[in-house]
Amino acid sequence: MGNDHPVLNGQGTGALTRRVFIADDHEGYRSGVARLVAEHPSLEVVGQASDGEQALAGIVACQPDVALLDVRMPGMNGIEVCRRLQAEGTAPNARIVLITGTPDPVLSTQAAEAGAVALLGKETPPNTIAAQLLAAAEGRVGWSVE
Amino acid sequence: MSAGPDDVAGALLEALRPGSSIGVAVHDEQLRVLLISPSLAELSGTAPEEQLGRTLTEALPGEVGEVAEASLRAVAASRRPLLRLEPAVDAGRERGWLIHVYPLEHGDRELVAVIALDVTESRRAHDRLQRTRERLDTAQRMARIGSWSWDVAGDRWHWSDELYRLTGLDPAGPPPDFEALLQAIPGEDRAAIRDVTTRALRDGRPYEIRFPVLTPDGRRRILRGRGVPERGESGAVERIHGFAQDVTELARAGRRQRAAAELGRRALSGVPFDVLAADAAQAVAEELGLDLATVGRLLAASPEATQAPAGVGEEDVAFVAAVANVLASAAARLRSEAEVAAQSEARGRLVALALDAEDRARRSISETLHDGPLQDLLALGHDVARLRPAADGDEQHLERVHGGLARAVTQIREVMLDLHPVQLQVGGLESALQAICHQQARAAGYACRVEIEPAASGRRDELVLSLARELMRNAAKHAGAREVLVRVTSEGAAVRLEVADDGGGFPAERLADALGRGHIGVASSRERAEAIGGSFRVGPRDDGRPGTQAVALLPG
Repeated sequence: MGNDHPVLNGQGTGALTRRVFIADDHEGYRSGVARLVAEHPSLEVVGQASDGEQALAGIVACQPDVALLDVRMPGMNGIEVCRRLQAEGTAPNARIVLITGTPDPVLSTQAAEAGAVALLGKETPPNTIAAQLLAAAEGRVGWSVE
Repeated sequence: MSAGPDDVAGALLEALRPGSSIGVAVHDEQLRVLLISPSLAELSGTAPEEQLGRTLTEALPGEVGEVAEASLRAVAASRRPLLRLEPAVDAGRERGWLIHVYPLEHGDRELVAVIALDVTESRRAHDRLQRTRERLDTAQRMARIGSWSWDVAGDRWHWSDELYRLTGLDPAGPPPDFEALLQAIPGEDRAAIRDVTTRALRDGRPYEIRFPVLTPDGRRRILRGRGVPERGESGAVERIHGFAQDVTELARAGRRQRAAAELGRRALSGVPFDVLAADAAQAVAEELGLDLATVGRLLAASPEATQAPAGVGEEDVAFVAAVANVLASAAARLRSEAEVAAQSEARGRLVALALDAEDRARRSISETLHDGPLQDLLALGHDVARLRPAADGDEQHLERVHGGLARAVTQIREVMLDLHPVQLQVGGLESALQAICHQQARAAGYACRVEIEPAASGRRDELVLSLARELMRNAAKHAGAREVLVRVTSEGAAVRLEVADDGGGFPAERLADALGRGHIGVASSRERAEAIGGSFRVGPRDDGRPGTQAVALLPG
């Protein structure tokens, strides 16, 4: 997994590549986002998951810079995964961005409380999603809702 | 022309013709007839001339003469007067004569005089009066009515025999007066009698009064009295006539009727059956003077089969039967109410089950929409966003595709909210309720506010959501509300959902018949709350502001 390391990856391009973990139970949406991330010059996909349990384990294993988690997933939802990571401190450098098909203000508050840096609606344009992930990875995102 | 005493006496005698109601005769020492009026001679069926100078034994045939002469002889011997009543038959007509035989001293002679008075008419009148009195007495006794009159000026009272009987006083005792009457009345009831009497003496108007008397043998009787004052020439009340009727039985019947009616009323008012039965037994025990165990047996047996204990009369049995009937119909009604309640509960459970099943189906469809078509459309959106126009016109085409996808996403989200907010699974009750609330408010054009106590969520979320949605829909549809408040709080272990609006209100009669009128929302909300042992009510707002407030209390 050495080529997954940002420093190693960044060596080739001269710029730092941010490592992204993606979790969504909808295969089509997840693969679309993965392709988007993969095509982004400063982002790379370091792992994917299709449910909450896998996401938790994968994030701990991959230690990404940023994780994009679907809110509604089987087993454990994205907010809960976020809470667990915060509580357990097992991925201290991973920034969490939540994404949902049904955004609403209450969910935003809960996402913020769980320690996520952003809650995005799934209809957010691909470029914006990529920009948000990069900003989150670089610590430039305090909190935003799309 | 002057006439001597003898002529006058003769004329007087002659005037006493047959048919006259006075007869006169004088007998000498030998009891021979010295003079006799034609009227008296006629009494013995002979002419005066046939009796003059003869004794009655000689003049009158048989026993009649002997009996009459014996009277004369007794008076002649004793020189004391004798009065006797002599029946006679004259032309088939019964007559009565009052015969007065007395010694007559005339000079030195000791004669015997006879004066006879025809008392046939007065005897008849007397008999008639007597019979009338007897009939009146009988009537009074039968009706238990006693009459009285009071000569106010002379303070003399007259009581009928029945009045003595009613008051239990002795007819042979001292003559009655007002004080004697008062003595028969319990102390606390005397003032009323004094008052009506005083008033009657003053204003001369008839009066009526009902009062108890205690007879010397300790029985209490209820009398209804009426007095009719009679004014004299001076205008003052000189006399009061009155009667008193024993209405003890009537009063008892009325009291029992009222007691049975009161039990019936209590039975209808929802008093528990054991309380009603205890009251009934107590009422019968007091009324009949029986112990509760006996009364219990009487009430338990069917009235026809009841063998009444000694001292329990026909009317008492009727009373027991009436009370037993009240209890029986109360028991029957309670049974049928219990059946209706059981059926209603079963129906309520079915409604709740059906609605729960519907909720599950809604949730399932909503989740399917979310996880399938919605995600597909969102992913497609990304795919479309990545496409680059290859030819002229592609850009607009892509815009249209993108717009169509966005509209489809919006519509699916609306449908999902209508069906079941998937937010509930992640964002919890507040998130889901806010989503529903804003959607409803947007659709109906009212402002909506949601207040949730954190401790209240996570217990009955699905039901709270379902009820809230139904009630918010009602607020929009029936109340025309401009502002709706949805508040979820915890009340002990229970969750309290309150939906208040500022609309036109919900009349109570409409609420009672909500289901019948097709207002399924309110009725089904009640059924669902009650099916899990909770409660539901709709009415005016607690805070006194105009509008309606629905409150569901759902056990945790």
